[in-house]
Amino acid sequence: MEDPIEQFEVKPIWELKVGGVDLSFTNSSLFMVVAVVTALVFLYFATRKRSVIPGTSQSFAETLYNFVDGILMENVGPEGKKYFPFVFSVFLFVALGNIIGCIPYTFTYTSHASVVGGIAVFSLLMNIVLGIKKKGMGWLRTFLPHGTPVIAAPIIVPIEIISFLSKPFSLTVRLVANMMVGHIMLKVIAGFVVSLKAFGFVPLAFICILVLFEAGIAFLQAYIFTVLTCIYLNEAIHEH
Amino acid sequence: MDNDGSRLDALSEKIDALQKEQQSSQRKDVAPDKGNVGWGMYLLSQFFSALVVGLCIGLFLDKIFSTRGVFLIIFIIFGVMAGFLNCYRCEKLYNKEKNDKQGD
Repeated sequence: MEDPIEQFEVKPIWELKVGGVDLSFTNSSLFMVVAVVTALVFLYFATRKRSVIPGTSQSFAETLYNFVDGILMENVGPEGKKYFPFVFSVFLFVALGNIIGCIPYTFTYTSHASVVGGIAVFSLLMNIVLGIKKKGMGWLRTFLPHGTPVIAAPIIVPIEIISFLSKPFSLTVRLVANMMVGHIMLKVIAGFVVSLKAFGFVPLAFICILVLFEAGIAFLQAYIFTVLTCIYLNEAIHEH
Repeated sequence: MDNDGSRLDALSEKIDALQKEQQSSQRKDVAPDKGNVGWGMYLLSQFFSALVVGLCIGLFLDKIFSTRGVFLIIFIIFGVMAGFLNCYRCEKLYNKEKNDKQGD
């Protein structure tokens, strides 16, 4: 049986080193490009005609738009409209990364904490920048909840800072763990198909069902990631 | 004409009912339902992430000030506290949303 962890290995395709920094184009980079190109090409062709009665592809693109718009309106409100391009990009990037990863011989870049963590930290930085822009240095008061006695501040402030910083970490862990566990399970069960010989059809049937579940989880995780990004935005816009 | 008008009214009533149903089914929270393993994993991820962040801050400060584990111990304790705080907030949010739903 092949190593089920091997599928997450980042391998360089074109090696490139600039000043001792490894800038190689890897299999992870390749599938990120594939996801971005897929999204761009699909959205371009789907929305090209802009007919009043939409066709299948335009309808699907509009459904995607409405879905993300709904999440944004529900969690942030009308003030969040100007951040729609960011939220929509995050949703498509994560969703396509997860769904492309379900296809055999592809690479799931969302199974890497560096990719997902990067997006989560970017959302957090956006929260900080928006908060400071809105409140100036008064934004720092969010780490001392209203009504807290000053004497308790040396304990409360570090706890609040850790709690604030742990958000993107928890978000990353959840997405990465879900993607990794699903793919490892698929690979392990796929290994049984060969080793069980004549009875290999049993895990094969099981794997067909699991792939469907995995596709569902892929979409669900993208949804969760988008909602949490919106919650950060909401905190930045309304609660500071 | 009257027939058309009543059909239009019926249609708009149907749309209103569907919109209401859709709004009530949309959940603000992304946490899994309470009482299953998912909820436990969700709380665990909240707790664990705060602990790891505390640990990292402690290690970083120890490295900067060349102290031998003083900040590590302090920030692990803060991390555990922040972890409990995260879990408490999740629970509070869940109950609030549940009450809001019941209120609807």
